[in-house]
Amino acid sequence: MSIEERLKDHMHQAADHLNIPQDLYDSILQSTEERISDRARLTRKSRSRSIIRNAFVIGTAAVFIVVVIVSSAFISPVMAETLSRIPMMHNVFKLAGDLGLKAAEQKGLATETDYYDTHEGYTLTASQAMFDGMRGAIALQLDEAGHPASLFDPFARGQSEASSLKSKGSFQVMRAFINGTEESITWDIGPGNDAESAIVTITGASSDQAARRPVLPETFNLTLEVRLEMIPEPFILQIPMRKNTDNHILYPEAEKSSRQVSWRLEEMERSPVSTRMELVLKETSSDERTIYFEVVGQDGTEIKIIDLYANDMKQGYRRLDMLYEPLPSDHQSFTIKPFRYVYGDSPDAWEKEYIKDLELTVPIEGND
Amino acid sequence: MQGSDLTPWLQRLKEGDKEAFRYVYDRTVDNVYRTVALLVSGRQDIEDIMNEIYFKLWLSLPNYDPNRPFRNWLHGIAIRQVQDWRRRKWRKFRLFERQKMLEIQPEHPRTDRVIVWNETSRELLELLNHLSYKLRIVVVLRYYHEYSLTEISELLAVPIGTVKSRHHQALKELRKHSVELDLEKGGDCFVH
Repeated sequence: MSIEERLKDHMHQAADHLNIPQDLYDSILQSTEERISDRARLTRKSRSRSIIRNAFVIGTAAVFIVVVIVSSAFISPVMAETLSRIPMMHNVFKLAGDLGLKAAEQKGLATETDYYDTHEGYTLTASQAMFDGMRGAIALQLDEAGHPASLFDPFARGQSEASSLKSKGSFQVMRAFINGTEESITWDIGPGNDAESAIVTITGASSDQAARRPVLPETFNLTLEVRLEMIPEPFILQIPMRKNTDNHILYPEAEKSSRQVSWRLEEMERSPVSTRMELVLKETSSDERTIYFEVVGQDGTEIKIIDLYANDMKQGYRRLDMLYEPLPSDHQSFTIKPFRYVYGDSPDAWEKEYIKDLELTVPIEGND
Repeated sequence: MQGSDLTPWLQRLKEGDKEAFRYVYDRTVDNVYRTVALLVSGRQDIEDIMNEIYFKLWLSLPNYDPNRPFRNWLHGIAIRQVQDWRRRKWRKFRLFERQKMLEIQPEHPRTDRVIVWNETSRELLELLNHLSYKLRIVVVLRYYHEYSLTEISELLAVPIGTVKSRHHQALKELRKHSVELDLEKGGDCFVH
């Protein structure tokens, strides 16, 4: 991926997280009305056949939120109905999830669900859900009257000028609430197994990143308010989430320092789906580049990162709370490999510049 | 935000229809707000500029040529309002600190900006803050709105050569601060 494509991706990600204040419209309307009071004032048309009103009525009538959970072991009548409604319904976690979601699916920790909302003929379905206390994952699938519709295509963007205008039904932005509030969580969206699907990840995060990563409650009601391109009404999905893993919390003795940088692993949490590492980084280096932490399993396989949350502590100290794929249960150790990114010699090549002095292999105690 | 969808609503808005104002606002606000928020620090400043943009949108609508892309026209309004705001702020600023050139000084990290959760996003925004406004706006138009360099030169009313050199300079600056542009979360399985 070229630097240009990467910049586009990151720019869209950054922009997607900028939330528009709810009261902005009222403020703009009031300001505009005041300033045009000596011009032609905006008037509310008293047409009996308002397009907006009709659209609202149709939209409201088309809203269905089904609240039935289906066991993952068998296809129930509800699931069968869903499958017949969407012939292309896939097992998104199995086909496109990271190693943790694949494991969750295999071990029966993922739940097949059928929460959906319909607007303008488009139906957005939350077809799978998983929660291990550290992250929630929801598979989304979109169809238009039973035919798959393009929801999230990371490759369409940026191919040409024309494609920057996304098609109707493409993911625009969303908000996520737990028990009605969006204070302590954040979301991220990644592709599913095709353009019709996506995987949403929910993690704890404080709004100003001034504190440690908030812990998600063991059970909560998750509400996703998803906006799709050219469909004014948001799709509302309400999904009960329940932690169904026994997590192990470990406090391995692991720290390493060089002259200007040191890190210490404060806490580690493991589930069959994720590994969380909470680490304090002390840095007095003049190198402005961020230090990241690669984790490698006993057999040399990289355990990929899923989410990174960071907060500044006192001067020079930073707490990193990182979620990775699960460490294989039979591994006796893993290696932490700090690195910075460097712009390589080959065109558009970003390379990892490992900091050998800071690498450490950590034994895992209490393995089961 | 395609003009063709909005055309009937723009016509109604020209006639002073409040419902059309709401409709046009709803269809454009995400895009416009984020553009401003990528360029300007401070929530109150962003909201002030948003007020100006929608007032100017309403005021200038009779001049809009429906044969031209509405998106470019609206972005033109948004950019002019951001630049007007910067000029006003610059005048005030100069009274206090003449020696500091707002145009070239990096702005401080945004303490009161709208919330940014994701680490990668946060770093990209910090990175953008390292750029001067003239470089930053080229980056936002090129990589957020995906305009061609020619379109950017039209929107900013500067020669194409200037846009090219600012674009080149911006990439150079970003590379200097490099960092996270390659952070692939979850690799193939889970690309964010």
